[in-house]
Order: sequence, then C-alpha cells, then structure tokens
Amino acid sequence: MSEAQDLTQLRNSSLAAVSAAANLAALEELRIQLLGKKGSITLALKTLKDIPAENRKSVGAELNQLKNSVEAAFASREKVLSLSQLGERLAREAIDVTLPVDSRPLTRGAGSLHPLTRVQQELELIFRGLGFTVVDGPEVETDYCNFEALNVPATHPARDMQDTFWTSGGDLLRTHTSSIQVRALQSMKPPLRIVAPGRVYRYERMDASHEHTFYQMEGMMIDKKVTVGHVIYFMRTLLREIFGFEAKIRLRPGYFPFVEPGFELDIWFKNRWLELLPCGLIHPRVLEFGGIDPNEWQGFAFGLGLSRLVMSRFKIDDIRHLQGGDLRFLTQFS
Amino acid sequence: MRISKSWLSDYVDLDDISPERFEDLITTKVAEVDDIELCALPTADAILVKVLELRPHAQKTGLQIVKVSDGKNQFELACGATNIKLGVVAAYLAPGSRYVALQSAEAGEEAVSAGTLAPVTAREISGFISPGFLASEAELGLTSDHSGLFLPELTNDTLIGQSLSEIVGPPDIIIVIDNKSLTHRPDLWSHFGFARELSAILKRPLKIDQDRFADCSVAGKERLQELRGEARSNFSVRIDPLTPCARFTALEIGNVRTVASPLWMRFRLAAVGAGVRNLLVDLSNYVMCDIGQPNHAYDADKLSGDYLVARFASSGEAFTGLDGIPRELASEDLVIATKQTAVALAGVIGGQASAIQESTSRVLLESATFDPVAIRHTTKRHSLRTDASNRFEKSQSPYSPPLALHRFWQLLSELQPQARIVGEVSNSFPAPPAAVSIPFSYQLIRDRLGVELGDLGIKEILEGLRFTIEENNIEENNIEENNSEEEDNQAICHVPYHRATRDVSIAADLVEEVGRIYGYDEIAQQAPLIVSEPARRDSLRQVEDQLREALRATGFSECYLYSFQDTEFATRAGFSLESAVRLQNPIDANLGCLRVSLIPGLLQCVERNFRYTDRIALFELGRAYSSDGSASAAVQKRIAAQERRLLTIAWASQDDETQTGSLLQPELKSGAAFYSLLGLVRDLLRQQVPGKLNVLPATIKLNNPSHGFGVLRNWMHPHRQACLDIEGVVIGVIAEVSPALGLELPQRSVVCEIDLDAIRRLGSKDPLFQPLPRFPDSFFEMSIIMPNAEPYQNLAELLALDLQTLPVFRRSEVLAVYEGAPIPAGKKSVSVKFVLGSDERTLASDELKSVENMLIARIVGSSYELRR
Repeated sequence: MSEAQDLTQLRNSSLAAVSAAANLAALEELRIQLLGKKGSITLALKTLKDIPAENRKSVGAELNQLKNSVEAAFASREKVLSLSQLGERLAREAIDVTLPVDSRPLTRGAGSLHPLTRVQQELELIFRGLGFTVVDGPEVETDYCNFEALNVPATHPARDMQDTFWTSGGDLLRTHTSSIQVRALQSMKPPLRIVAPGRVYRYERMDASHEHTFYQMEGMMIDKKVTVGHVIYFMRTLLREIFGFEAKIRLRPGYFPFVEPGFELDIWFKNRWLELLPCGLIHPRVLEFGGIDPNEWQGFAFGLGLSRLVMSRFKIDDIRHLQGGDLRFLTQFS
Repeated sequence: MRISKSWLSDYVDLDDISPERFEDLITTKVAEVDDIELCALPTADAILVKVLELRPHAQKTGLQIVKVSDGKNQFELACGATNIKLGVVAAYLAPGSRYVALQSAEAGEEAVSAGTLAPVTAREISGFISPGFLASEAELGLTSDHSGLFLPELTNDTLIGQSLSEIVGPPDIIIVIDNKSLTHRPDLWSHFGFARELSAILKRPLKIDQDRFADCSVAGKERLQELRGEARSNFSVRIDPLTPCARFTALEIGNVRTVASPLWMRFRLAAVGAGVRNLLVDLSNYVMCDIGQPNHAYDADKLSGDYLVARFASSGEAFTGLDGIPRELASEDLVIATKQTAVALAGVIGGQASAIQESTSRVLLESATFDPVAIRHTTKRHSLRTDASNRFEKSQSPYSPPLALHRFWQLLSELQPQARIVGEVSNSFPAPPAAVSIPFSYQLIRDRLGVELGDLGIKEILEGLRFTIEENNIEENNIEENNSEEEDNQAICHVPYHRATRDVSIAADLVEEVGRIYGYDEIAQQAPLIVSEPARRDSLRQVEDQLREALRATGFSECYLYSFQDTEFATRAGFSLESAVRLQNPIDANLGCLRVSLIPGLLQCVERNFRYTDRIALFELGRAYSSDGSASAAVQKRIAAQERRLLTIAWASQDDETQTGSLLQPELKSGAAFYSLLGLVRDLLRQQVPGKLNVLPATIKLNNPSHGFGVLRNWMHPHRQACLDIEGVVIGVIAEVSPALGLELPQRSVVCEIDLDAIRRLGSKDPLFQPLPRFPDSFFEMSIIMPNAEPYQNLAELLALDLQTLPVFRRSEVLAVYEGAPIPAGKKSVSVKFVLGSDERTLASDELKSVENMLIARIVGSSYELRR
C-alpha cells in the first residue's frame, strides 16, 4: 500500500470516528487515541524522518493538513456534544410552569426603595397638596420639544451648555425635564399647575459629580396673573416642607432661554450659598409656542435637580452610586 | 472671565466697596461670581534696590555676585540673570519674605507647589551664601515672565529702599465668572461692561464714558471721522457680498515701535489671565478686556496690496495662525484676506505671516463684527476657541468697533507720542441695524414682579442701565381708560446699542432688568389667588408606587439602571436590536442603542452583585425604547420613540433547589426559585388587575411576538419559562436564566418582566362583597396520571369544561405531584383537591359523588387516567 493510501485511510477513519463519538467522554478517549502522545496521527508524524528525503516534504505537508482537519473536527464535535449535553441537562430540569404552586422568595432582610424614589415621592406629595398634577413625558424627544419650543433655536449658543445625545433618526435624549412643559402646554389647557419628574441625559464624561444620566423635576404654573412674588412663595413653601424649617434663600439672575426673567435660587447652607434650583417666569415665546396667548396668561417654571437633592440629603459622595445597582448601596435605604 | 476691581475703578468709584459687597452685588444683580481672589502678591515684601557693583563668581560661570544698596545698607547677592546691569533698580526679596514658587519643590520642611507662595531662605550657591535674591516678574506674581530680572525703570532714586507696592499699587481683587454665566450678555465681556452695571446698581456716574464712541449716535459718527491723520491710508476694507460680517473697520497707524508694555498694563493683563508680549499686541488685548470689542493689529508692511477683504475661505485654503498650527479651511470659514492670501481666520485668530514683530513700524488695526453662528461653527470645526471668538459668539454690536479704534489710538498716542494715524478710518458697514424700541407699560413690570414700584422708580432703573424712555402722551391714555383705578402708563423703551443684538427685545426683558437692579431680595413672597382644584392622579404612577411598595415589603430592593444597552450582551441574550433607538454619539461604542428590555441590564446587575452576596432580590421600574413609534403626527406633537414602562424583577439564590423550606410542596423536586418568584408575581398582579392569570410556556402559545414577550429567547431556560397572560393579553414573561448565557450568576436566577402599560389598560376593579358562607364547604380528592411533559394547565382546562357549569364548584387546589414507582416512567400523578359548597345547604354526599363521577368520566374519556 502506498503512503498516500495510508494517509487517506487514516484521515477517513479518524474523521468518521470523531463524528461518531456519542458523548464528551468518548470524544476525549478518541482524542488520546489519535492525537495523544502515542496516538496514531502523532506516531505517523514521528515516522516522517524514516521517509526518503525526496518524499518527506510532500508527505509531511499532507500529514500536517490531516492533523489540522482532524483537530477541527474534534472542536466542532465538542461544540455539538456539549450543546446537546447542555440541552439534555436543561430538558432534565424541565418543570411544569403551569402548576399553581403557592410560594414566595425567601429574601433576607428588608427590601428598599431607591433614594431617588423616596425623594421624588415626597416631592410629589408636597406638590399634589399644592394642587400640582404630576405628569410625564418621553425621554427620547424631538428637537422641537427639547429646544425649539423652549426658545432655543438651532443657532443658539445655549445648545452648547447642554451637550446632547442624538439618535440616528435625528431626535435626541431630553437634556432637561423642561421638554415636558412643551408637552403639557400641548395637551392641557390653562390654568394649570404641573410637576414632572424624570430621567434626563447629557453627553458628559462621568466622574464622582458628573453623570450622563440624572434626574430632574420640572414644575410649571400657568394662570391669569403670575408674579415673581408667587415664585418666591412656592419655592419657600417647598423648601419649608422639605427641610422642616424656613430656609434662608436668595434669588439671583440666571440665564435660561425659556424663562424671562430667569433666576437661580440659592439656599444658605453651612455658612455659604448653595445653588439649588433654576426658575423664572415663562418666556412669552414659550407660551406662544404652546398656543397660549402671553397677554392673557403668564406662568412660572422651575427645575429641581433631583439627583443633587438626593445626594445632599443622604450625603452620598459619588453620583455614580445612584445608577450602579449595587445592593450594598441600595439596602442602606431600607 | 476675570475682572479686576482696580481696573473697574478707572470707570466707577469703588473705593468704599468691600470685597464681600463687591462679590454680592455682582452675584445678585449681574452674574454669579465663581470665585473672588485677593491678589496677595509678594510685592509688599519686595524692596527696591540699586545695583552698585558686579563681579563674576569665582567658580561658577554665568553666576555673578552683585552688590546692591537699599539706600541705607549695602550687601552682596548671587544672581544668574543675564539682563542685570550696573546702575539698574531691581526687586530684592530678603529671607523671611515670600515669593511665587515656579516649580514644585521642598521649601524647608513644607512642600510647595508651583504657583503658590513659598518662603525665601538664605541659600548657599557654590560657596557663596546669598541672603535672599533679586526677583523676576514671575517670582513676584506680576506676570509669567521668568526670562530675566524684573527691572522697573525708575526716573529717580527716591524710591530706593521702598516697597515694590509703592509702584505697582495695593493688592487687587479679581472676580472670576464662568463664561457660561455670560452667554446671554455680549456687553459684559469687558471691564467697561461691568462698570456700566455697577454704575447703575450703585447709582454712581461713569468717570469715563466709552459709549460716546459708539457710532449709533450722530456724535459717535463725528468722533469716528476725527480719527484721521496726514496722507492717505494705504488700505481700504470691504466685505464680500453675502459674507456673515456685519461690519469691517480698520485704522492705519505709522511710526510705531515694538517695545515692552508699561508696567501697569502688563500687571493688569497678567491679573486677568492674558499673556504679555509687546506693546502693540498687548494693546490689542488690553483694549478687548477694557471695552470688549475684539480687534487685531497687523504688521502693515506684511500686508500685500491695498485692501483687506472679509470673505469666505475657499475649500482647503491653507492658513497658519498665530498659534503656529497650519490648518485647512472649509468653505464656510470666514477669513480676512489681502488680494493674495488669508491673513486672519476672521474673529478667531490672526495669521502668523502678518504678525507684529520687533521690526514692526506700521500697523493696520482691524475692528470688525462677525456673525455669531459663523464664528461658532468655525471654532467647533477647528477646535479653536479664543477670547475673540468667545465674544463674537455672543453677538457683539456692530456699533462697537469704533470703541476699539478710539481706545487703541488713545493709549498708543499717550505711550508713543511719535505715532501717527495714516489717512482715515476705513469703514465697511453695509446695513447698520435699526435701533430696538420696546413699547411697554409700567403696570406690566409691576405686575410681573409683584412689587409696588412707581413709574419714576422703574424709569430711573432703566435709565441707569442706559435705556432711554419715551413717554407716550398720558392724556390720551386717560381719555381711553378713564375708568381704570390704576394709571397704566404706556411708554417706549429704546434699547442701548450694546444690549440690542439679541439680549433685550421684548417687555419681559425689561421686567428682568428692573427686577434685578431693584433687587429680587426686595420682592416679598405672595400666595397666589387660584381656583382650588384637586390635582389629577395618574393611574400608571399609582400602579408603579403600589408595586414598588409591595416589592419592598417582600424584601426586594429597587435599583435604577442605565438606559444605554450593552448591545453585545443584549444580542447574546437573544434580543433583537432591529428596532432599537440608536445613538449617533454614544458614550461607548458598545452602548450604541437604548435598551429594548430591562432584562439584560438587570442580569448584569445580578452578576455584579453576586461578587458580594449570594441572595439577590432586585427590581427596576423603568422604560424600554424602540423606534417604531414615530407616527405621522404634526412636527410639534410627534413622539420620537415608543417608550414602554416595565417592571423587571430578579430573584437569585444559591439555595439548593430541592431544599426549599418554603410553602412549596416537598414532592416538587425542583424549580423552587421559579415557583417562588411566580408566586410573588401572582400576588402583585392580583392586587392590580382583575382577571385570571394564565402562565403559559412560550413554546405552547406564541402570542403577539412584536410585543416582546412570548418569544423564547437565549437568556431563558427553555424548560423553565413562561409568558404571563391575563384574559388573552400577554403582559409579561418569567424565566429562569439559562446557564448557556455564560454569566457568573447564583445557582438559580429567575427574572420576570411585566408591561405596566398593559396592566394599566386592564384596569383595576374594586372587589365586590360576597356573602360569607353559611354552610361548611365539602371536598374530595383525586389523583390523575398524565404524561410528564404535559402541563397541568391542560388537565385544568379539561376539568374546567365540567366544573364551570357547576354552581356548587368553589375552587380546586393541587396537593401534590408525584413521579416514580408505581407510576410508570414518563408519567406523573397529580393530586387535586376539589372544594364544593352552597349558600343554601350543606352538600349531601351523593351530590359530591355525582360531581366526582362526572370528573372521572371526563378523565376516563381523555388521554389521562385515574390513579386508583
């Protein structure tokens, strides 16, 4: 028999044996037989040196090719077998999911609500007491609702102030809950009082005090006569309810294209002024965008930084904890 | 922006204003002060000394021993600076005084970092002990110049021995304001701009009025024409049609010299953070910081031809700016060019080739107004922001360029009396904008602010801010509205040029002007008179709050996870991202789309927590997003994506699943984790929605696959999964996590996801009272043998055919499921208890028997058999 015939036979018998291996154990046994130290393919390779030099090169190449294809066959058979073995295991584990079993998870210790939930629920309660309806809006927003109708046209430098995530469809992830003002003006009729808590996004690098995902609560009141004095009243009331005492506050000019005049509200805390929330009288153009006559109606709006409030409330030093999902963090709020 | 109080004092008297009051006034009435710096420079410590003798150090080349006099004593110091000369005056720092450290170092026992004050000590240098040293400008904190000694050129020697602060003035106060806080105020990008505000706030006059040079007035126009000299200018300027350049002016000045700037100018520039180079360059910067208008001085001898033009760059046009970086321009970039070549990237940076040099003797001073949007795009395109571009982006007034020409010339002619203007101002101003006037009513301002402030008070505030008020004829108003109790006087407010570019355009803007100067602190809180109406309640929010409270009470913890989807993992878990909302600019390439389900994120969260704990009970209430939601609504009301509100719960433990210790029947050998989460979910749903919950494996019933549930996905254990169905509506999915997913999870991890919108749509129903049973219930038990693989549900449905028709049937309970001898292999025995009862009587035993027989007949007629 020629060497070529030998090799062909070896190849065919090896491949046949591999594909016939019934399980992983049999396959491993076969691997030792063929490719182990004393395996037939290994031995064939060892005898190369006895082959006459003129044939050695071509036989060697063929042998190597044979070894490679057998190894490939092993790999694919192993995959098939382990999958079917897993499949068998899963099948053995089958349960009747329709059984009306009455049972509960054996949890350990008390559960917890997320600190953002706790603060948000508290604020919602305060505002509902003041006659504000809690509303929602989409997180994937149109440029129109997030910018345009809030008096931030495409060329406005304020767009730089809020680096934005854009979707491939040309929409965006809302950069503030103020977009809900626009949605509310479209769907509700004045007079109205709303608050809108929610998740907002900024295209920002993360560190202990910066997040690309955080929470705000927008508030808005529209009525026949709204004054800066009213803004101060509601903000004072809110802070009294949150802190339980009359906090010392100040309003100072702050620029937001959708309010005029616009303010930053600072609170006196530990001997210094802390920036707490932006607010202002709703810009007449924003009312017009919402189809409301600014000569007849006015309003005020404010934006509470919920994440920031939560962090100072519970003395959380790293904003990334809020969305980290770490039980060691979460269960502290049980 | 850094603003120097001493610089402001050129314009307004601020001597009696303390640093605290200064900061407070600016913050509460103008813009938030980020920081206030008291420039405690070591200038008071430095003593002016005269150099008497110089001799080289014996060993060390380059080092000299300097004998100096402070007027009383003479002493020797070591000095390595090359600009030291006999007879000059230098600043001496004795041991014990302090200097600005230039590098981080160990000073004695303390570590000193660069830029902070360090103590001067006597130091030995190659065998010579120097008692202190002669300082550079940088070491004195005056500028960043450390190339040589600071050598003030004194005209007489009377100051020798005195403190350096005698010539550089007392320490200045610098306020630092974030540029973002000034986005809306193009007029505040200069000292004069802040001086205008302080003049209005403090009701103090401006000592120098730079606004008189604005040529929106006749007088301003005349003043611009007075800027002229002998001969004809060698240059004219023009603006190419359609170029976003509102105005282009230039002034040629000859017979100038490039020298160092005077000390006071260098100190001021250093104090506000500007670099210091030479007089001509420094002047340009100084003028910008002083009056706000960016400007640029070209070496006129480097400009070819006889004109400069503002034009668009040609695509690919090469330009090298003062920063030495060659750039390829885009056709949207704006340049200033000679006939041959671009000499400035307009409004952003001057060109290297025409920069001021030692040899410069003739300058062309450009002062122009460029379109804010065009400038903004150019700065973004080339990632190049400068003090000039920052100002142009905010909409500078086109009436401001003359201010820069006047100020530059005024300062230059004082410092270099030999300088001469050549010809006249070259001025291209194709379309001067009309003045902005706002009709308003005094009452509207009072109403919006909620204050009682008279017309005169309002007028005084606005005029203090350089608005002018034109009263309407009051009599006419009175005739029209003679009934009104309050006089509602109408007037017209003319906006000053520096506020008219965008900032102030409507009456609401005037409300803000009056409010901030009047003082927001002066406005009293005021409860509104409103119609009392209860707040409406959102049913979804109620559902969410009840669910999270119920889960918390069961020991689950609420988490908030990110909306961005790990696309690789989600795909591996078997979620199609075909309709996912994709991002153009994700934070990370693998977080390229928004989550289509909360499950992948929660699974990864369980895996992270498994490093610390082996019993994990988590849930999230959140949204999943898909892009198939954009209906064809009008632009205004369009919804950008479909957002589903989901509740996703994960329960994972290392418990051996046969040792449940729970209410689970011990006969059930496996599935404890699955059954227990399912039991909890059953409870949650019972509290929310009427209707019976059906639990169906996805392989049996494929319901509305677009919904997202009812599909067997990779993450699910194929034999431990089900979709949750309430009266034909699939509302969720529950499954054990498949080990094939390859996560490091606890032994058994079960996840359930529920669509809250579906729950809300199903609605809740008040329970209706049922009379309490007056007669005891009866029951009987049966064991039925059925194929192992067949779900109990099939049996339940079969028996329901009869049971549903029986008014006495109350309920059935599964008591046990048994496999093994004597039950044949592949089969299981299910024991069921049937409870029957009536409100009218206790059921007789034959009544029970007939029901039992009916069920037996049904079973015998089926593929199941009765276990006897």
